[in-house]
Amino acid sequence: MTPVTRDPGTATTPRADGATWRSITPGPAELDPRGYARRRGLVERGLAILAPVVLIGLWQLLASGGTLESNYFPAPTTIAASWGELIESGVYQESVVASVQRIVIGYLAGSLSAVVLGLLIGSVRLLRVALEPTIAALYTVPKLAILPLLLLIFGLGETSKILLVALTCFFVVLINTIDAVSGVSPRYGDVGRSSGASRWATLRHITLPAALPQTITGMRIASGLAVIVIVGAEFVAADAGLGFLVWNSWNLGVPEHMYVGIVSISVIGVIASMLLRGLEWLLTPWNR
Amino acid sequence: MSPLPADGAAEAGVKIAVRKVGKVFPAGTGSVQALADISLEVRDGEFLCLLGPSGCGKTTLLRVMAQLERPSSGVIEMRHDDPSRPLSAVVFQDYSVFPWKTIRDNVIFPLLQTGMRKAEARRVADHWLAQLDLGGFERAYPDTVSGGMKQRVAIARALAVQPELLLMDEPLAALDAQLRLLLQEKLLELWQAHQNTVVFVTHSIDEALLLGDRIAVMSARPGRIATVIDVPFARPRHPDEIRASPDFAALRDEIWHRLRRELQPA
Ligand SMILES: Nc1ncnc2c1ncn2[C@@H]1O[C@H](COP(=O)(O)OP(=O)(O)O)[C@@H](O)[C@H]1O
Ligand SMILES: [Mg+2]
Repeated sequence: MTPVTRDPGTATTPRADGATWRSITPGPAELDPRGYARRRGLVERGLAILAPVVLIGLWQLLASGGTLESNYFPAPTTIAASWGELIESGVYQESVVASVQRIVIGYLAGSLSAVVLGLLIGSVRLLRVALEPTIAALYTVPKLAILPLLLLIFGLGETSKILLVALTCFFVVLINTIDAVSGVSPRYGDVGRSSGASRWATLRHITLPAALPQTITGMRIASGLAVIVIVGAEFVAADAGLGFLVWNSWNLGVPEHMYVGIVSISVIGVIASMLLRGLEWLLTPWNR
Repeated sequence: MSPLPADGAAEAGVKIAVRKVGKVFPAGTGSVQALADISLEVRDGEFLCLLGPSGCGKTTLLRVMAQLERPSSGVIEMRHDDPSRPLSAVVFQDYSVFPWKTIRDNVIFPLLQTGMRKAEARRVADHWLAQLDLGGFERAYPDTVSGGMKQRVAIARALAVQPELLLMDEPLAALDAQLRLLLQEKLLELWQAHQNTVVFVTHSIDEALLLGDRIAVMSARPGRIATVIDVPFARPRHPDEIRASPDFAALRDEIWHRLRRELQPA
């Protein structure tokens, strides 16, 4: 049997005594751990930046060479130029502000009320058994499907769109919060009870922090859904906003604007997700 | 809570009177009888060890004493002497230290529930943390320290409220042998200084002999009190001397035979 060297740091050498000895020695990662980690970090970050740059460069080449149909896939430089025009005319800022406003107001109203209600429903058993099936059923309704109903009731103004975002976020956060609260290990409740903690102290010092990580996960999912749903609503029921920009550029036959809208929407989604990761970092220091 | 029957509750020197207590848990379609007809008196100021094989109902009995569980039958009476102090505090078998609170805030939490001011609670917490050699770790989160330290946090948290009755459920079971010896000495020292009544669950005969005034030996499920043994060693006790004494070996043998009989089906 030939000895196999599994790792660069190990080597097998036959010796005079006829036996094969395996020696295990420090490798580059052990000899210079800091330098090794730094070099690896640089390479990894470099790759993460390089990959999209290469893709965009490829796109640019194919588009300007005529391989890609410019009516569908305008060159990145064309998109950048029309982005500049949209900013200059102020249409871009107007669109971003309109969408962000709807997302932020709807999101905050929906999520925050859901956290409060979720804590309540989750910690009061009777409320939970009474409401959970109904909430689960309502949760499955695709919220975009009720947009026409909201339009019917509240008209074409801001209210219907903000409400749509709020409802979408509300159910996701509510379900996650209830789930988080009912998943809190009873042993922590035992500590509370044997310390004579009041209901409020239990909620504040035990239920809330124990349920917080999963609640924030729900809030992060909700932020993604808020972006999706507002775009859908703006397609059909708005005269401003990034969704409207995308939809309208299809009508007008300006594909560059479509890309500006699509990229901006994604960026908003990424920023929202980053903000919530930051919130999580702030609020759950014990998980850092 | 229902009013207690008046018969004999005020017996002199008795802190807890457990009378014919049974506990049945529903389990699936059937039920588990965890405790059967337990009768036991815990004396005021004593260190009582509950010793028995695992699964015999030690935790269940302790939880009933902690008012976290109610008996299925029988009654437990506990005398609360000083309303300004909490009747009992518990050290749980699985620590149950809050991961979201710093070590200091874990100890502060029950203090605040007694109505203590924050500054005072902080001072008291730091005192007990120092007593358990946790000075310097006040601001650390529990998940960043070892299991042995977490368990000491749980002990500090229970001691800090100065309960009349300290209920401890295998507080040292999860520790390695050396650390366990050190903490046994620590507990002995603290108890000798403060003398609250202690009910201490353990499955270690040595530990029971070292710490206890009396040892209540429980039988396998359903848990009953098989026998109660007086531990003759004088206080203050010194662990090394006790372990070396011939009485220690003899008592240990006696209890071991007793336990072995309980574990073997007749
Ligand atoms: N909440 C519960 N529900 C069902 N069975 C339980 C519950 N708590 C304890 N038991 C059962 O009661 C018996 C005694 O448990 P326990 O008091 O934890 O024993 P010990 O602490 O001596 O190991 C065990 O068989 C256990 O499975
Ligand atoms: Mg137990």
